[in-house]
Amino acid sequence: MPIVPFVIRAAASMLPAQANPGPCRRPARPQTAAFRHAVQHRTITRIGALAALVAASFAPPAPAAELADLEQAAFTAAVDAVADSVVQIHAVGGLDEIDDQQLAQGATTGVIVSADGHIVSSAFGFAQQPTSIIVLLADGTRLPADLIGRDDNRMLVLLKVDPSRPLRAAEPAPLGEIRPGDWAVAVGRTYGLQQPSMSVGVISALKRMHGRALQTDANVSAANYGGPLVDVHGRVQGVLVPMAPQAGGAGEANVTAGAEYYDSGIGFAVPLEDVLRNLPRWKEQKDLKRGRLGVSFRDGNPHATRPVITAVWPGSPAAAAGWKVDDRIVAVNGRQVETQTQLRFEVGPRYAGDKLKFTLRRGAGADAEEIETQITLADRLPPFRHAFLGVLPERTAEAAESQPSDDPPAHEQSNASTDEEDAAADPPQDAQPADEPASDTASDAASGASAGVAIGAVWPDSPADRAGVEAGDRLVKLGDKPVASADEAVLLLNAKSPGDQIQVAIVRDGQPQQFDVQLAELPTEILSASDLPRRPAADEAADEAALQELKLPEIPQTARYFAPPKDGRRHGLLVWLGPPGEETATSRAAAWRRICRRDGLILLMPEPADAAGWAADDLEYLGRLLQTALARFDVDPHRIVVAGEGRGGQLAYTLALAGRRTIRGVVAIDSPLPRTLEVPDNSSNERLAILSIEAEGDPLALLVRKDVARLTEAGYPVTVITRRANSDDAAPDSATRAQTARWIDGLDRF
Amino acid sequence: MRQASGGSMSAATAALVLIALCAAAGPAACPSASAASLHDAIREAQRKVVKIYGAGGVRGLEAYQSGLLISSEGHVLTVQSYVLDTEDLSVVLDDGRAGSVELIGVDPVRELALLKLNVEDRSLPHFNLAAAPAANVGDRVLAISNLFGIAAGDEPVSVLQGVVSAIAPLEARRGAFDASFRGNVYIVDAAANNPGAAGGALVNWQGELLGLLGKELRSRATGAWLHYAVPVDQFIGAVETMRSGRSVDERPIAGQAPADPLALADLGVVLVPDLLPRTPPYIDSVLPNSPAAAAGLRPDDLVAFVDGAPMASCAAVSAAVARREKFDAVRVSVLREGRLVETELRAAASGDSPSPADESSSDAAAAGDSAAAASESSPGAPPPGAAEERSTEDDP
Repeated sequence: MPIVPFVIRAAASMLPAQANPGPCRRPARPQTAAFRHAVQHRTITRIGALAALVAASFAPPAPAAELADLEQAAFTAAVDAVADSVVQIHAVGGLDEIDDQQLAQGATTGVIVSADGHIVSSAFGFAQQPTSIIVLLADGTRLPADLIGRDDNRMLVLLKVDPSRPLRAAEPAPLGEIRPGDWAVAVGRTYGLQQPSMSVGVISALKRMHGRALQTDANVSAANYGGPLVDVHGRVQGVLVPMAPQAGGAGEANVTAGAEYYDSGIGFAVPLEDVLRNLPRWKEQKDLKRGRLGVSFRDGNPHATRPVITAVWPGSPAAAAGWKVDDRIVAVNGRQVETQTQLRFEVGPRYAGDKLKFTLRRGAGADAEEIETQITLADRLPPFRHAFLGVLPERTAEAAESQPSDDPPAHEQSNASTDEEDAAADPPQDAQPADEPASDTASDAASGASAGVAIGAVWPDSPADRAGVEAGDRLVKLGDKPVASADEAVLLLNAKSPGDQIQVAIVRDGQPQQFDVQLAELPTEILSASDLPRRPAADEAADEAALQELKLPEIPQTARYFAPPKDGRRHGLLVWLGPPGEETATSRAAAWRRICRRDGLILLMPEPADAAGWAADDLEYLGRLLQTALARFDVDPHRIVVAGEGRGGQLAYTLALAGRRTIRGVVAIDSPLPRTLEVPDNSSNERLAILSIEAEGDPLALLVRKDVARLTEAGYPVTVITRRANSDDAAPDSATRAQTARWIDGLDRF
Repeated sequence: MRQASGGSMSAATAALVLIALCAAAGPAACPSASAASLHDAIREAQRKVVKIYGAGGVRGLEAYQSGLLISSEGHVLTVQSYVLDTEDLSVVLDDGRAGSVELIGVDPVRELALLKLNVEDRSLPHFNLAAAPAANVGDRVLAISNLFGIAAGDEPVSVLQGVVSAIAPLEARRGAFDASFRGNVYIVDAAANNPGAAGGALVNWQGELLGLLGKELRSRATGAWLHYAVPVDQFIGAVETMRSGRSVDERPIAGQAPADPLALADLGVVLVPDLLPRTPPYIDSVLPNSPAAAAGLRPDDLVAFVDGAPMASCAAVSAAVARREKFDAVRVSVLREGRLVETELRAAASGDSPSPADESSSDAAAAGDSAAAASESSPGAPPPGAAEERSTEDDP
């Protein structure tokens, strides 16, 4: 049992505190019977301790009665010792709630970290952006406070008051001495000013949240966020905060994330030693930001996948340091990193402005070289924008058949699994399967009539168009890399940026040709029908077959769908989040049926759980439904689109931004972004496009426009179309439907 | 779990240490083996907690709760809830004996109910309310209840351990409704208040009753679920009343509403329009010749405290002022250019004209003094609010 040792250790570490009145001031307060008992027997314990020390050179396991009472006395003494450094904080004004989430109304807690009045608290208590802040000291003194700055990496805020006398700063517990199993008391001053609240637990783990926090099983909630976690001597181990794993992207840090785990046995505290180490720069810089490199890594399980770079953001610290695609990070500040998780442990706790030494491994086998570079982490990166060549691949039955083997996820997974094997093997191999074909194999491929990617159409006025590429050409090489499928071409382009020069090799009528092009940004305009000549003739035969139903086990909702007959093409999937009810599904399907048949689109129409409409609670269902649909239908992975009207559109945004790996397009009709949604930056490996449809004269339009700008800022290609306002109905008219269909049809552009 | 494991560490080792200690310190001071006494205390307390089965059973509404035996002849104290709302109410004792009960009385404020078990036995184990001690923050406690209805028949009810986290007024809500009881409760760090736990016991490590576990409630301050127990001294009087067959018709203890409530207008303070749920309470304007003008309040001052209580919004300021009688003095602290400015305001006596010609020219302090003097010299007993004010002057 691991429990016994820690009890003994707790007892041992308590004894000096009991014997030495140092930090454990005991104010006049009502003594419990148990405490009196403890006092009466303190002498005995000391004698017992001496006896045992003589006997075993080890602090004794005191009898259980002693231990229990001593422990209780130690907890209250620890709280008393820190109490003067724990303040109550009141926020005046600000928001009442964010979206549907009611914000805490009460006071919050803070820890004094300097005698001249610096106070650290959890950012949770400041989510409402208060207009004024008042601090109440333990003795009742009231002081107005200024918010000096935030720390969006550790979810803290720094306040400053001007006290008339020096304050008592909290004493930090040395981080090196904190071990799992140590007692940890969570202290708050939220319920009342007179006496701090306390919850007793142990340290559960160190270096959680990629090295940023201690973990405890003491109760941690809004009752003590911002307060200290103290050891039995009253020394502060950390500052209590809600914390949740952060998304890799930029965007505003969500300070309330993790609060849903309150009182659950999993609480977090930012080590006070870390806070104090950063305090001088925090005062100077005002806001501390997460530090960013500006690279993306190969897909796969981050605990097993090597940090191999798949894209370098233009203008990022990584680009400035000369990092290249396929470089592998092997060490940070001299510490080896084998996996993406290990890298995150090295970079995660750092702030923007920190300088780090990175060792890169470039090249494979005998040619591999190690490169030392220095990086200054950035607080913000220009968002990634995908490069655009300007072609639409031919969507034929053969192309579809050849696709499964070249499917990007499958491709990436095979890389990942190779890496896992590498991890066991020694020395590691860096060569990617994609690099393996030698140049002579490529030229062999180039001469074959079916080599490369058949170009179905060329995007007007795109780089390809200006260079003279034509429909019917076959793309065989990008730069010096041969291209065997559209997905390979996309992977190569993901590592490029708009403005990059690239050599494009095609085969036209059996003759190889080469063009130099300058890549552009992904377009946001919708092509006219004549520019999309790739479709087989539209089948006008009208059948009124009833909608089919898709149900998930244990879920009462029904999703209705229309799937066009199989014609050898892989169908796209359009998930439509409209108003509830079978009638609306029927009318939506009637409107879309012809387009679905022509473009090879499956229209899937789920219904919300609540007849009142879509709500955030439906997200889990929609996620599962999407997975089921993808497993059931053989879907073209480039044309998976989620569309929604009003609230449904907000859900479509949430679903699509969370599932960018799968979802390629989101259509939002009269929908602003959900207020609480953190918009992740566009990422090189994912290609999410957005179509925002607004009604003429819609009062929401202003809000929607602002969100469109926000999404564009984050690097996504956003297309905006305006539809005729037809009363309250958000169902798109036929012109809007046709435009939407053409937008979806162009999603496999690259 | 911790203390149990700690206590049960190798009996041989414990015995050895005990012998060593007794040898060193003499037998008189030798503590009893508390591992055994803690177990005894728990077992003893479990026998005094009963399982109650009644109405409910539909989704989210459990058909069971817990109760305390508080007399040898079978009085059971529990929480008033829908579970009791049936003719077919049954109580199961620790030893598995089941019996019917009758409802003797309810306390609508504390949401308590007193039941009487129909048994012959006149020697049932029970908690003695009159002998119940009080607990302090940090005391180790045990929550004993049939949470989640997990014990059945003669199975003992469940024991959870924790400490008293705080002793604070119950500021809680159930859904959108505020709980009616506002007295001090023990807030604990054990997960004590889960379905079925209401009516259970909070005891100390000696097994003495500290409080009654309450119904599931959310804190109004933090929005989090509370784990709490109502201290015995908060309900012992109500239990006596119920036991004597009288009904408890005490109104909520929130305090009597003032007969003639003070309004901001009486003080001459006009706040900015209250448009948002948390509009910061900035002063929009100060009426001329008003107490506020005399005290030197200015437009754009932010009202931070009223009588020492922090103010988060315009609505909070209006409500705090309205809890005062018209003749009460009110301490108002405002935030002005980063400094807290303390003032004391008192509305002009009702007989006075709103614009006394000669007082308008005197300075703020003089006006305040004269107003205070006027009220003190008024006939009859001094206003009770003012007396309280003095005594809590230093109390933040």
